[in-house]
Amino acid sequence: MKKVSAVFALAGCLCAQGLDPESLAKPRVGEWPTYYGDYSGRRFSQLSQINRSNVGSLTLAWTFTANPAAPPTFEGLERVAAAGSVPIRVGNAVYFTLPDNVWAVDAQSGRQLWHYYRPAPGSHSVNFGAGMYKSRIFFGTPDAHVVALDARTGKKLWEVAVGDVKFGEAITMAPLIAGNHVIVGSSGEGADTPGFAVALDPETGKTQWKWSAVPKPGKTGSETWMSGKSGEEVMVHGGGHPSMTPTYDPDLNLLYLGTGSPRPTFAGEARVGDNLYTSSIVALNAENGAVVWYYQTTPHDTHAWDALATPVLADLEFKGKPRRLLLQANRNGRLFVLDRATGESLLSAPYVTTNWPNEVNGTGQPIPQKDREPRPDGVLAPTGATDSRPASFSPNTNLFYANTDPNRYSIFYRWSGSSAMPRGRAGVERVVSRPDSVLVALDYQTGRTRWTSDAGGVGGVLSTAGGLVITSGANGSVAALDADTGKVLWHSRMGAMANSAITYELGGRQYIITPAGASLFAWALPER
Amino acid sequence: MAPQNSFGPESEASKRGRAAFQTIGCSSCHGSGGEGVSAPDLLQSAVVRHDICGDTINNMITGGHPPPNPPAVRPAGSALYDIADYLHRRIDEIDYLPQYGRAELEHLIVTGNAGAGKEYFSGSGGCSGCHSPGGDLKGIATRYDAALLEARMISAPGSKSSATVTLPSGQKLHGQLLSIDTFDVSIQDEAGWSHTWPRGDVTVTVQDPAAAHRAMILKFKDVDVRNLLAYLETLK
Repeated sequence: MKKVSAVFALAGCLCAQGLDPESLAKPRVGEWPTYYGDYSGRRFSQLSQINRSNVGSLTLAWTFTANPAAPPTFEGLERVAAAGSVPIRVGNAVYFTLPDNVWAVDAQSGRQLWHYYRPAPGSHSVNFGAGMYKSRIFFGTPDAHVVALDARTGKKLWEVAVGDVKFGEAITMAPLIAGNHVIVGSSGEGADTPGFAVALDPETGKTQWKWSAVPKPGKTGSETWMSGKSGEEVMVHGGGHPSMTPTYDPDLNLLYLGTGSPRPTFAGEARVGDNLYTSSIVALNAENGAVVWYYQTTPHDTHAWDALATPVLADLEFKGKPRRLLLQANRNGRLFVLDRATGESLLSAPYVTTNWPNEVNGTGQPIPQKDREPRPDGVLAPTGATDSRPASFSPNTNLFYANTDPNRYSIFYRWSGSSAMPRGRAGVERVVSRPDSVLVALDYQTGRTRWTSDAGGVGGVLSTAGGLVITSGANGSVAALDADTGKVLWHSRMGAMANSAITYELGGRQYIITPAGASLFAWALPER
Repeated sequence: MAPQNSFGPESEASKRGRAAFQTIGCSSCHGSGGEGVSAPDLLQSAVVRHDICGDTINNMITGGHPPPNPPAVRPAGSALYDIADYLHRRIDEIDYLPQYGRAELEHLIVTGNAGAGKEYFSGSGGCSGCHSPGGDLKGIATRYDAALLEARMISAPGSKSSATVTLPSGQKLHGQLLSIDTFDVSIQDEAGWSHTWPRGDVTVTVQDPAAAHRAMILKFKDVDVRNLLAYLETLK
């Protein structure tokens, strides 16, 4: 009988390694089961074993260096190695991706458990990570497929094409699992097509619904593109690829997607109007993909400012009233605070200075300025104050932390228009000012900067209940800062461009994992 | 899809296809570059994008396209493969337009007033405080194309900063600045050796010749940029 009990005990232990999607609605303290650590996008951990008082003694617990199975066939290894993947950790494993590749690594030792390799055509610039449902791992591919793997073995269970690589479409985001939906959005760096998001059945890969970021002619939103044939032609291109992992409110059952900029990117006159739903935060019903509300952060975007920065969800007081908020430090240089149930605009405040007037309308949206649109002889304009590097929000400090690029400027040239129907980017952007990036801590109620640190700026931000903010900075550095003041408490160097840190607890020990290049570095307090 | 860096000179087959596309009459409905007029845009067509060496295009043609009424000439044999090559070339052109459009860019960006640019140079722009048309800028327009000259004019890339590092002993070391961040500073001394110190251990003074350029970013008006470029373009 003893033996049987042991088997049951073991079986129970193995089951615990999977991920029940319903358990994600409550915080899973100590794990990091999704791209952002939870559904909210706060990148905040309740762990506090590593804290202000002891972070100075942080030491290396292990490192893991990914060794892709075969030399990448399509684009250079350098681009693959500079990937922006953020690992997840469930049970005893950390799951980590590079384009075409997934690894499972033992979370306490860094030992490789398995490696899956699937060479694909398409752009290999980045893969952001994996998603998990029960005992399945999901990841996107450069040829716009979603692949499901057995999390125990790395064996493929199914794969489905959700986009068309021949049109430049790819899936680079870490899939989001909401209920029984695997959600992915298209990445269209090289695509001249309308962006889309799809929900797949986690068991079969069958499409449950598909949402297009550009409406079909005659449908709601199409009135924000030009009417007639020229409008219809430009909407076939459209853009608006929602390429970053959405956030999700299980109570409202709403998915929050940031969409990319419209196409043709730099030819505003070819798409007169606001161009919905590009450069917007869109709330979709998770069951059917219907738009519940939207807020366009840059109407008629002509500078590729997009809305791909993390839509962070937090329940907070705003002007004395408890609210369900959505916070985004947008690439256009403004902090947006919305009511996430209704989309009501509560705050739109600049967090960087720019070289042009920052006029907004009654709902805080920037008013398009015709004389600032790209021209054949160039317009000097902000490159973008941040990008898709994920931000963090700490409910302990009530500060919003974002790695930003202040005073970064480009000249935006638009091709002269020899073609009646401009395509793709329809111009080029040349960066002419690239000062160092910095971490900013913003007051979410005003958008004002509480403190800045040039120890940050690179990759995403992590904040913890230990009173820490973890960030990467210049020259492959990683640092732990006091979350209240920004004071540097610990730092090290990893020798490569670093990315967003995660943290988890296992076997009574808290680990902070910092990806850099194609390696993972696991930091912990010294073993007693 | 072809990799981005493979976009090279047009093949002979594509050139023949380009001509055949017009003479056979495809262009009368699909547009001279295949971009679509009364018939669909071939550059956004799944049939064309998924075509390999003419296979799906051939299926379309032999399947009865274009419709026989009005009577149409259908490409066949090598002409069909040449046209397929041409259409794939066109798709590469539009997918990788930044490279394609570069030649266009060079000719169009110099639109400013050189006289006004000269005034700005020695007046409110403050450029003449450090630069002179007969000195460091002599022949500058022959060294860089217009787009690169414009970018350099704004950002002064490659200008090397130097730094003076004061050690706790009071000793000062001067050299080219290799790296400086929150944690460390590195310089290269005159003999070529590099030295690194934690920032907290030393005092650092940086001499950055491009600081004046960076300060201009928020002051530049587009008209100043265009006029200044037009003036620099006269310094051949």
